Amino acid sequence: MSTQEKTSNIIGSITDFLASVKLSVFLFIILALASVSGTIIPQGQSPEAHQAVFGQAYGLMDALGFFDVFRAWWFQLVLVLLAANLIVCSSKRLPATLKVVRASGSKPNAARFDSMFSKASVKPEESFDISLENAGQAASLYLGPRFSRIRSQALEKGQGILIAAEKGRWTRLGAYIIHAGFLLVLAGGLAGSYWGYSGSIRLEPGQSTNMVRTNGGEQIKKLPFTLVCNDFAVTFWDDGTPREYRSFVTVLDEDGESFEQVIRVNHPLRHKGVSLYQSTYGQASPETINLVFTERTEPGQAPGEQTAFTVKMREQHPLPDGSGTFAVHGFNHNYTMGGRSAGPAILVIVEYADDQRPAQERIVLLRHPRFDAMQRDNYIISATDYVPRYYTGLQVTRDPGVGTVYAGFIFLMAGCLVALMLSHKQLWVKLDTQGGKTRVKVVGNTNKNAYVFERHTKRIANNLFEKMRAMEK
Amino acid sequence: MTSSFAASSDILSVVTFIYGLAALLYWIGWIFKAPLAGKVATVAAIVGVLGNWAGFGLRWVESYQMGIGRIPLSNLYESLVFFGLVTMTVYLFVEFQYRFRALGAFAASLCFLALAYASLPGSGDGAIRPLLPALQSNWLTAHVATCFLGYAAFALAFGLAHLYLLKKSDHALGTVLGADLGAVVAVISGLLLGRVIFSAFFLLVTAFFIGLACFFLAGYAMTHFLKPRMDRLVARLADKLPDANTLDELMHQSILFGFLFLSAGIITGAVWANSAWGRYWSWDPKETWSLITWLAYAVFLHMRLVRGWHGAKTAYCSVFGFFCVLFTWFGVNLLPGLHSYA
Repeated sequence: MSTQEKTSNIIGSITDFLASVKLSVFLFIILALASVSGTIIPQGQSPEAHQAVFGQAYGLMDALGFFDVFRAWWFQLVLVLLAANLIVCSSKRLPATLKVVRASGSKPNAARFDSMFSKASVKPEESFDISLENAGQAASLYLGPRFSRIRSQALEKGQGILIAAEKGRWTRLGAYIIHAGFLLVLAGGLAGSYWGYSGSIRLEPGQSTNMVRTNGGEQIKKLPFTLVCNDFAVTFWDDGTPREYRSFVTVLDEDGESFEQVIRVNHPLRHKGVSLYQSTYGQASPETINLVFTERTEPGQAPGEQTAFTVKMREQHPLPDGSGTFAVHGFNHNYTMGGRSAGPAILVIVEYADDQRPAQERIVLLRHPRFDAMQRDNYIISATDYVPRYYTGLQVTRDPGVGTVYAGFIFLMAGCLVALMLSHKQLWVKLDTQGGKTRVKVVGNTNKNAYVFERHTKRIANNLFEKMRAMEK
Repeated sequence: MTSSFAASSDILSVVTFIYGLAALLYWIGWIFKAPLAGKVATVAAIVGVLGNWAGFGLRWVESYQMGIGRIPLSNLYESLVFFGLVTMTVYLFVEFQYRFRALGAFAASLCFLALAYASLPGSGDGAIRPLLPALQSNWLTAHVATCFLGYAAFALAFGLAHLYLLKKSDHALGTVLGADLGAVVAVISGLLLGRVIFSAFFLLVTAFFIGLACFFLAGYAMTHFLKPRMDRLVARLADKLPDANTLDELMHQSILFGFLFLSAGIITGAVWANSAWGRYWSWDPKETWSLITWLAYAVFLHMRLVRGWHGAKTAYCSVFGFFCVLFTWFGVNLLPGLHSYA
């Protein structure tokens, strides 16, 4: 054997291996098993959490990527192999299928008809008192509109007429349409993971940005436009669950164009290849807070004098007795103390005119107006209320593969419809003269759904026989 | 508010009993060869399915009266009700088309179990709740409707697998019954062990292996000891069934139908996810398990095309595939993910 022959042998066997359905099935099973492991093994948690569950096996499992299965190199390899398998397998088989689809149709053959008829489970047969030619014409006329291709042929030695009818030959291409769809989905997914990114931005009303931090936080991407958040609104159902979140935004293009839009859940903003999704919201610092300073009095005495303020964040105000100033410096809508939720809280910083007295940082809880009494100051500061303000959390995605994936979806669905629901149907009618009458035999064949087609064959034969019976009179 | 959704829940509770009655009558009619019981079973099934449609429609109307206005397809309770509706409708179509009732014993039993599970406190939730913003999408309707049409077809293929093996008096019948028992034991042991084992991973693995052990033991016992003693019963049950080829073809058709709708369900789900979260695929456990189910049936379709798998092998695949469906539907709820509602 020459080296060249050897090489072509090796290439040939690699192609055969890549083209085999055995490989597809094997890859399907590997993909399924890997997916099972990716759902039952907790994914992407802290090493300590994994170690707690798997102990000694942690190191090996981590090295093999079992805690991030869907991004593991071997998982990606299986997908690539599957794509290669689909391409090689389909391109190897397509010519043969195209030949069948394009062929002018099998020649009617009396011997083949007889063998098919004897094997068929449904074999309609009847004789009529009409001429062979009339019967043949009637059959062609009846089958014509029901099939896409009809060939009628006189058999040798006056043995009669054989009519071959068929339709749906192109449906044999259904599997290829599915495979093309699958490849498009894989290609689109790959394109998205290479050239796309996803990140999130958080904007309070009035803020704007043209930068996005990608999920995981490792990169900052620049948007092809600037996004201004004009307002955010959330509505609730009666039972308190959120009904709808809306971000009212203005998009400022680099060329000076701008437009306004509302972003809602399920109604993203798509612009210049970037999509912005309403994904979350939360409470931002309120614009103003209403505070009350109550003069401290001894127990038993009349309640102290109260002074009310409406203050903005970081705005300095004089204390009611003029001994210094205060300002609200922080807001937390859900402050935790000792691991327990204490509701909304603000941070008030009090500075005194007396240089000897250090500034005080005081936590004021909205739900507990007497909390500040612990400070033992001349005043008890309490916050009565505030107008809540929300920030909006937007998910930002750039995925140039989505179009390809959707095209793949359309191919997949169309291919499934063709390959699973339609079939290549063939029907033969043989007419010959027997005892002075014309005998008609019908047999059908299909590449799928034999049961339904048997009944279809029966129905067609019955209708045909009825037509011929009518011609007898 | 409590009274406003009572009507549809009441109707659906009655439907549960009617399905239970229909199931009982289908079994009696089949095992004791009582044609009258079979006819009454069909009537009960028709009444049940009409009630199921009425309950579904009324729930839809009630949601509008409550000012929520949504199609009832968004939590476990509603998915179970919809499964009953679709499965029974498709089954009755098969009964009238193919003129046999034995499959009704399986279909009505499954629908009864689904609706009974729906009415269990805690498992399902009869209250009509408003939709979170992400669920307010027409893609959701398309996604759930197509998925459950697929599930219904797979459920019928599961029933047909048993009928086919009965008709053939096939050795594989014991194996399949062993698998059924193994699955039930796995679920029960999973529920019991859930009080002791807190890691979802170890719970699932333990329950799986208990089920597997049970499958081997029961499968062996059925094929070697019980089957020879049950041959008369098997012959009696197989008596009125359509011929084996018809059952095989019908089972295959159901799988094809189910596969088509499962594909549509996965695709519409992906499109919905992309419009709600900006990602069409995120390897969420429910997504991943629907893909696993899809792959299982895809393997079967390829083996049928290339190796000509049919008969007992189709039956095995249809039983195995249906277990995947059940895990996708219920088992995945044990795992963390986005699909916690259904």
